[in-house]
Amino acid sequence: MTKTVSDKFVVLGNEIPSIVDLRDLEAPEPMEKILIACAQLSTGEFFLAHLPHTPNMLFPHLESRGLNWWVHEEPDQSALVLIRKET
Amino acid sequence: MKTGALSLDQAPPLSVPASFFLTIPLGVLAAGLILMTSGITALGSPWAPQTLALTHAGTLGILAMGMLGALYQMTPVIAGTPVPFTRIAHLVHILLVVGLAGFIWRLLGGPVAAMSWAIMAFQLALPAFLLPLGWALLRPATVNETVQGMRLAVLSLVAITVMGLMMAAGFAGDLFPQNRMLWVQIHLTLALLGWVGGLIMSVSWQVIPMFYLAPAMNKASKRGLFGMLMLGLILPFAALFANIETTGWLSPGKIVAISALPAALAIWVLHPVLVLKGIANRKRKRSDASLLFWKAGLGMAFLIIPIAATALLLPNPRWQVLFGWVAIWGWAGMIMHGMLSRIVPFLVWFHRFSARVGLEPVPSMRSLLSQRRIQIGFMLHAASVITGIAAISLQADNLAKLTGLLLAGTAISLASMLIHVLKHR
Repeated sequence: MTKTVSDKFVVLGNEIPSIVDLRDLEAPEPMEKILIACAQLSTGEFFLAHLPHTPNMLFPHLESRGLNWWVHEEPDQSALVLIRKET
Repeated sequence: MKTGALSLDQAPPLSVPASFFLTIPLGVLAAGLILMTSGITALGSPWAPQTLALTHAGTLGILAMGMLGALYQMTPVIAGTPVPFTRIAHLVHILLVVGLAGFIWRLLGGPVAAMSWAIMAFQLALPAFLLPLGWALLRPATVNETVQGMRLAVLSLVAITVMGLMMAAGFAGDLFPQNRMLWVQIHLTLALLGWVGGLIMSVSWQVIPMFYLAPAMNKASKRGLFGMLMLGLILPFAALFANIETTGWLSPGKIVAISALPAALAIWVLHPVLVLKGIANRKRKRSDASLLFWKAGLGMAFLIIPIAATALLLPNPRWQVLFGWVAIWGWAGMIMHGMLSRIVPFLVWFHRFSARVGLEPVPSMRSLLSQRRIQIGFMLHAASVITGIAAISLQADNLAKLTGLLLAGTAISLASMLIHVLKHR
């Protein structure tokens, strides 16, 4: 059975954001889009992106901006990245 | 799931890959100066000291510099594990430069002591590089085909360095290993196919989809290529311990070369076919001058096996030199030059601008380096490959010197490109 987004990220509960598909952008455009979007998040708000692979180089930036994140790797090696502004 | 992340302190500082990358133009310049001063002597026989000096200016001064810098940068990103004690990379870099300088000096008529110092520098550089990087590659947070390819490449590097040091001792007053021809053949097979080929192949699986939006190669193709490469590396290496005794045309060295065929087909035929097919099927066909290098380098790969076969069949040593020229400067050198023109702007953007994205206006990565600069570098590089092929084929001294001049031009263009990008703050 195919997992739903809330199965992949239990932290979401019923609050499911729309998925921003960034798989058709070349590096570093997905990182740019995510950082710009995250700069506009309100406290407690989520941002969910679908990326071509796990973005290891993005994580230090999320950490330095006080953002929390979760990653779900898909069978095709693409990755869903869920980001939340905590404070 | 939340993955273990790199902290900004664990990610390698830009100075680590940059120091290696900035030395590449010096390697190209050294190769150009050798050709300008030695002329066709450096392109006549693979055994001439000038040819060995030229070859190692290419393999150590250009390819190894780029590949070590790339491994330090890419291992934490791809494997998800930081390389411990990353700043030791600066020591590795210095040892590599000192070792290469001593090695080339001795081959061009310098004192025996120069080779002894070179051997000592390489002996120190190998563990200083291998232990931290091997640690990260052996305990990755993510295991994928790229990580496996990087492990194979590093393992090949260890083998060729040990073999190379034992052979270099012959130039430092000791004896060459018994059956030197066999050692040389295994050394160059592991170097070109295992070390260079393994890394180009595995890194291409990551960077071609990432930077050019080409469809990712499927797992079956990656595994097939990896399996063929492994087979073609194990067979020649096994020949070293098999104590092969043959007579007539089929020398042990030739048996080694033939037994590497599965690896050669994987790296110089199938991998280029699959990558070129992927590039042709890009999702967004955006004009990018760095792709010229990939296309030209992968195109040159198709020439390598026919040239190698001719070198095996015909006694004229120029074919062996042509094989080395096309493989090192035509195939691997082209791809490395192309990767630099894409990866260095990316790294500068990442290290200097990405932290400010969304908080203040920052330049785009593409604005850091004009397509024109990349095109000039490509034209000089391509011209030097072509004149080099002509010089070797015709054994023409003037063409060899012209090739040296074009290499010097390529070095200046590459240095100017790297400095221009790295100056952005």
